[in-house]
Amino acid sequence: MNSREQILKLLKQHQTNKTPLPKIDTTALLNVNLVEKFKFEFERVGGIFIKTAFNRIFDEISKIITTENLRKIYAENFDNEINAIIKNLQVDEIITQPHSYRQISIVDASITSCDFLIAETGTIVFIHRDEKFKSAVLLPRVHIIIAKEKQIVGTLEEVFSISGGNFDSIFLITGPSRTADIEKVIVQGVHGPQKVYLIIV
Amino acid sequence: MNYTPQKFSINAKRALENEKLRANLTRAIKHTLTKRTEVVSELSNWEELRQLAHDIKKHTIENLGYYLELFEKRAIENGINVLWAKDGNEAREFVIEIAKKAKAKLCVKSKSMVTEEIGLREFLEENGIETVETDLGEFIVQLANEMPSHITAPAMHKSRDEIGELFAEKLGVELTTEPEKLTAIARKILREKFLNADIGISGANFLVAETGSIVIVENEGNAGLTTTLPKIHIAIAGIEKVIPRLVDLTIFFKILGRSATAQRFTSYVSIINSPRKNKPDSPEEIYIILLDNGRTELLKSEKLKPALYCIKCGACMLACPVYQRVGGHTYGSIYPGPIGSVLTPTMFGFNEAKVLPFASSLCGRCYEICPVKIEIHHILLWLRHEAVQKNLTSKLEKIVFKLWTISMRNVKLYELGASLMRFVSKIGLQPKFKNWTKTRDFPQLAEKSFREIWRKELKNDFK
Repeated sequence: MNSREQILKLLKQHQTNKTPLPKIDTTALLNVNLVEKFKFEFERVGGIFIKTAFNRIFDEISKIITTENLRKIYAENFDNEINAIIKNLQVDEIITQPHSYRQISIVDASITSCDFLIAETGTIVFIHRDEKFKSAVLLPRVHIIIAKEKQIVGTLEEVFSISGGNFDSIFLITGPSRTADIEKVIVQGVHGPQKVYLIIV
Repeated sequence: MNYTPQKFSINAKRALENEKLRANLTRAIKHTLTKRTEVVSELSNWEELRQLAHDIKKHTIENLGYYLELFEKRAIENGINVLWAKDGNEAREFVIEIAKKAKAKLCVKSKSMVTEEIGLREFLEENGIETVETDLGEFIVQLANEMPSHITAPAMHKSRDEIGELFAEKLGVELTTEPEKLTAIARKILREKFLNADIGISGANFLVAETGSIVIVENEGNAGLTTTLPKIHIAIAGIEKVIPRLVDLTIFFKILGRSATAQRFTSYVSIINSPRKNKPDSPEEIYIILLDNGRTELLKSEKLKPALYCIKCGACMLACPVYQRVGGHTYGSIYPGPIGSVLTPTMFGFNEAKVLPFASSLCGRCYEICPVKIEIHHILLWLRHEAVQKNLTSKLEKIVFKLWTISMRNVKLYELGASLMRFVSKIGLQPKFKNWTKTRDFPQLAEKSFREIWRKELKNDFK
């Protein structure tokens, strides 16, 4: 008998089935302005929230480029309008077609989209089922996300009920990378980004 | 220093005398507990969440075989390789086999207690495979060649000065004691390791049966990188980590972050379903090793079963008046504190760790803070009973309790014994009872017994 059979046999001997699996009531955020709630939670964990009009995206990103002193940028493939905006940004280099994650590891910032924003916790949701670079949200020092207001949902339950089990992976980001391993002092940017900017259109 | 459960009392004494250690512990514990109270009290349904989490875990453990098989089925459908290991040895062999086949030279590891449990890093290093801890706290204890002292804050026993000196000595960097600078040094060194690693090794906080998902919760981004950059990802999880549904995660996320690090939500969560072949940067092969290593032993006993509900948040340690004073190393086990005093003797050998259930005041703070409502103090008391049943306690203690039992059953004998003890107290004698009086004074009896007072002074008042 191999280990699998051994373990399962033992477990089945001790199967009791007394306690029913509790039902989880889907909680919805009632009477809450989702944008305001998201902003409050996202800023509380150290995110930088920028709400702007479409024609102001270029200016907003340019401001970030100056404050953060960004030279090299990786940008995901967006729709044509946003791609055109990104193309005109004043930086040394914009990588849009990296051949490996090594190239992303040398940029100062990444500009990506996301799938959902969760108001309850200020969380940004990335669902991977395509050719996108997963590591683009983790490797650079600065991460800029461009999202639409209608991507905001109330809770994680809602994300799960929409996504089902059909994905390669889901990555949830709530604020910048952080640690408190040295004397409980919070330091941002351990392995992931030090700054997370969300531009919401 | 030699840390084993047998040496608990020697090491406890040493820890109590170490002022620096106690200052480090007090600072870290106070900070986390204060923040925890804040983020727990703002939820109106905390008690409901605890009960829900408890019931989900209870249901799952009662049907563990069913859910593990379901998880296995789904994971295989998703393209994940599922391996079952009955003990640490088998799990280590699985890993080395995969590593050798891939001709791996470098492994990056994210934080995982179960890999500590089976000594995986040391084993890989002995086999010539460089293995690097990438969680900052774990990186620090690896550099210092120590054990983690807490399951979610492994380096909490160290001050910034000690860490600065350690970095300067081991890494050859300029001495600094600023947490920001120390973190930046670690980031730079570990980034290189991430980019060149052949294998990423992680644990798992949860395994979702209905979707076959591996779920990892973290704050630094190191687990995200560990499970994204290398071409091979090996996850190792105890068999108790499975939960039925994706939606159950919403309950556990609310309680885990708050209990472990006093956060409303941890910075990063990876929910991994499948390898991504020919995609730019995800592993092409994913392995999950389901580890027993003594867990089915707990399952056999109704009393011990609830210990398997544990989600390894470490809150019971911070709340424990014993842990608060002696720290994690003293327990001589990678699972210290109250829950560790349950797991260590029951999973790794009762005789060696029999003293741990006694290293508790049984005050129940561990239960009050436990996010899955494990009655840890009751289990500890029951384990003491087991120790007596197994004849593992001292002979003298047995004799004393025998005499006590006899005298408690006989009024005359009780009165005689009590007046004898009162006499001993009166003349200022301090009876010595080996280990018992080594750490406490023998209790002084009141000058007059209640019976005496009742007879002479009170009786008439109540007529």
